[in-house]
Amino acid sequence: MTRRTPHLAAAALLLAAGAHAQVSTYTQAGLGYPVPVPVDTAEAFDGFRTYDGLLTKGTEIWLAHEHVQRTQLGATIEERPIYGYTVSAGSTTVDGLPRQGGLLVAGTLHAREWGSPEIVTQYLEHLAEGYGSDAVTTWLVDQTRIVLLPVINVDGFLQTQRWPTQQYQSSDGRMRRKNMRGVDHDLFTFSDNLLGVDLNRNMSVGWSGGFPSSQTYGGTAPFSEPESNALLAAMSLFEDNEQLRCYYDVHGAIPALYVVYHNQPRIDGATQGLLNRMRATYTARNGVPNSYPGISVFPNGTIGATDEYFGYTFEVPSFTVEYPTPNYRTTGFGGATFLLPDAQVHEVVDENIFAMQLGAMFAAGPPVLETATFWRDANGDGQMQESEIVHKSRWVADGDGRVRVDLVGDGETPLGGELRVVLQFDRPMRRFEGRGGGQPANWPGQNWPLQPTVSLAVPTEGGTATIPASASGIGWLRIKTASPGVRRYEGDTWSGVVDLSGAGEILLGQDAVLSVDVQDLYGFRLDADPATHADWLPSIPGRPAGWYSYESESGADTGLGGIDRNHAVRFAAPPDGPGTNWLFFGP
Amino acid sequence: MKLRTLIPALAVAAGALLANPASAAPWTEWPEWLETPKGHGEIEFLPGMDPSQVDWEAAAVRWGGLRAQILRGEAESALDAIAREESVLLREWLLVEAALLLGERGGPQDRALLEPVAAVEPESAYLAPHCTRPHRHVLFDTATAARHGADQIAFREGFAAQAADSAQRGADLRVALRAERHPAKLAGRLAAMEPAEARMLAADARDLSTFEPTQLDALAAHLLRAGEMDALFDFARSAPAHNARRALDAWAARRAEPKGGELIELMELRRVLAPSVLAALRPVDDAPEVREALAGLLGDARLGANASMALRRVAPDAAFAAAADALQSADPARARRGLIMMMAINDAEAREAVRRFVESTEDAPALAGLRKGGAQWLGETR
Repeated sequence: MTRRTPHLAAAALLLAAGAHAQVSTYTQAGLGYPVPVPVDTAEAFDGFRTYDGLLTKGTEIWLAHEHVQRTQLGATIEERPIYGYTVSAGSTTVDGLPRQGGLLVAGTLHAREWGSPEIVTQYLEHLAEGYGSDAVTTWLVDQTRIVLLPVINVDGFLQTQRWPTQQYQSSDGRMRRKNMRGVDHDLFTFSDNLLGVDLNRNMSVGWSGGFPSSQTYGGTAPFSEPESNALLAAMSLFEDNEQLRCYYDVHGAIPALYVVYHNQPRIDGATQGLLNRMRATYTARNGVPNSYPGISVFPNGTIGATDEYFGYTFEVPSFTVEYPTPNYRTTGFGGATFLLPDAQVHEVVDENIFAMQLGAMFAAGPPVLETATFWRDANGDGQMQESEIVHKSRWVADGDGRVRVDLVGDGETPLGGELRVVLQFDRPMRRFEGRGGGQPANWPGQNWPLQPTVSLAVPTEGGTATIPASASGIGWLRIKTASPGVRRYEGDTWSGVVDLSGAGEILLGQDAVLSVDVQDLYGFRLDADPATHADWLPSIPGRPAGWYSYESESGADTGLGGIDRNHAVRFAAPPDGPGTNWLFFGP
Repeated sequence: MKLRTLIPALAVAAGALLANPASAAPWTEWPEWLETPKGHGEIEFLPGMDPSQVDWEAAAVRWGGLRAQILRGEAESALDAIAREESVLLREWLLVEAALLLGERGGPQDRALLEPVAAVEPESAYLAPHCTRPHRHVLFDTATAARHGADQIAFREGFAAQAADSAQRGADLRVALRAERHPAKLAGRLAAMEPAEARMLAADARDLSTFEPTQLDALAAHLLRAGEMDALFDFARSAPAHNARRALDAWAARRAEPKGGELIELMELRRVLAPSVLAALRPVDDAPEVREALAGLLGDARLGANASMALRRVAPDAAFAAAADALQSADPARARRGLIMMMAINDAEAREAVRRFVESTEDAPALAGLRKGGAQWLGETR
């Protein structure tokens, strides 16, 4: 548990004053499940690893994967290194465009919340090992920068692992929350057991100090603790402060998602959207409705927590994730707060990896329809040959934005008949799940229409005829080597058919505009004007924080996107003799 | 056939059950997944028919003996013994167990012994706690049919066919174990299992990994008690590490002297060794062959990380030498392990070893990334 618990502070003071210093021991009989004890293994399993095991795994990932860097961001009071891991592939640009945003995930500010280092470390493992094999992970690592700090309160975490079954007044041993400021390792020297600084009260926004024996003591000053400064230093792992687009601080044990609101519509709308998506994903993974209830944080109610600092300082969606313990999915066991049963580690990690990927997707920003290709299956084999491409247009980088390049191919066709369309996006728009090649699917818990809405507005003698494109048994593609095939990622390309046979008398020399409306895995609609690169911007006078250059189809910079109408075709009179008889070019 | 003496008793029990349900007490431990004809939680029992009143651990042990008797070809005498059981509930359970076993392993003659089971009333069939869901459904459907004078032959054939499917049987056992969350009952049921079945369970990693720790602990403890060390190590290979570790710790604690070599031997190193087993190694297991084996595993993709940790834990004095040796390797995976070990050891000697590695002029492009990482680490730890 991380926040707003004055009763804990009061209880701690009362217990200290009462001089009833006692060390209590957890038992299986009392908990109803085996007392979790750390296992000295580097490999994730259905339980908790030692700090040595977590660090060994982190070091291995850093040294084994080129797209993972490790940086020492500082040292604890006991001079142990605090590491940050940066996951990002390639150069600072993607296809010549500015790199998209970043995600920062902080872990183990509170020592006793053992699920936190497992969640963050396993997310690191997921990102490292999924790169190149899992399309979504590959996209996110290609196009964002994800910074992970699995264990910030290293000293405190080690103290809890020294005493895995014993605790003192919910303050030391297994129940240590704070860092080790003024504390020795001996659980049976009682005078120091209540000391230490709550690293989630040591930030400048809303800092208030308090009593040293309080569970929520904020230290002598904001950022008085070296661990807090290491977390601040994590910002140096981004290209600049503006690259940060989302912050997570991972805690347990009262199920909640603390959400930082700004009383500004754009950023609050984006934050609320991410919150809703995360909650839906949690439920989809764990089957429990409302397993992570949202709790709002407002500017006038700050307490010195890290989510407030990052949320209000950098003006990005910011959350404190409180994974639930124990046995929130089942009943019948008493359990103890903070003691996540071994058997639930896997579930809690799983649902949080899926939720954090949503944060990374948010950081990646809105999708762009990069390329539209029109072709005609002249020989009826279903394979797109170069000679069958009658038109292709693509957005390419141009300074800070993009410019559309039109390529006209050769084709021969009567007016009417079937026109095939291949749409390539800048990311996997769908994931695939299930056997037998898999079916396109949403991100768990999300419910966007699986197929895009695609149509061609054809000018005819009788007015504009809107001809829908159908997936016609093709739809989202998985394979790169096929033709048509995906561009970079499984699921980044959609293929469909426009049947012009019922369009009537098509007018020559006028644009037939292609409309594409689709939401990506996150639920972002398309950036309807890719010429300007969508970006998350902090506030300046007269401009609140939010998405900008993220236009609707009308060109309005709503920050919400819309329908892409940037690709069009124009029918020309067939020339005499063989050769090109359709010309396609953009508006 | 002597088995037919069971029928009147069963009929009496079933009749009593149906006649006077109101005087019963609810059984609160009814498995959640079990869909009963009366709805979940609504089943009531007559005095003497309440499953919570049965000593299931003792019953499981008793069944173990009867089972062995049937497997020796003494089915009739075993069924006779079942018929003499005083507790109606226990008698029915043993009968269903015997029927399952006969259906699975017996020939046509044995299957004929199953006929009386058809007389079991539906509710009685549901009382058999060892009888898993598919079998319960078969029993229920057929017993209902029998009560209405319908086809019993279909029941026998269907029952035998289902019971004869040994794969299904294995899956059903696991389903049954999953449903059993009462530690004492689970222990009893495990005690009644044949070693082969225990081994089968232990080897089924995917299913086991979703069991509650209490259940896995019970299985590990059972294997340990039974001296089924091969099965235990199979279990350790597949089950979550903490369960294996607890079982192996218990085994190690009973050792009169360090037996790391024996442990390694038992594990048939390199063939069955698992990260979880490596996590269970303790200083008491230190032995030359253990050190050698662990050092040899450092470059292993699956086991290397835990081998390095085990070596540091079991034989700290040997860890540096092993790390230094690995650091000299041209194999990047092995060299990486050596570097990680040096970083973990992190004393002056280890830092010097990393410095030498970083400054090595040997042309080994595959190690360039490691040298860069080592240099960064030296800079950070200065």
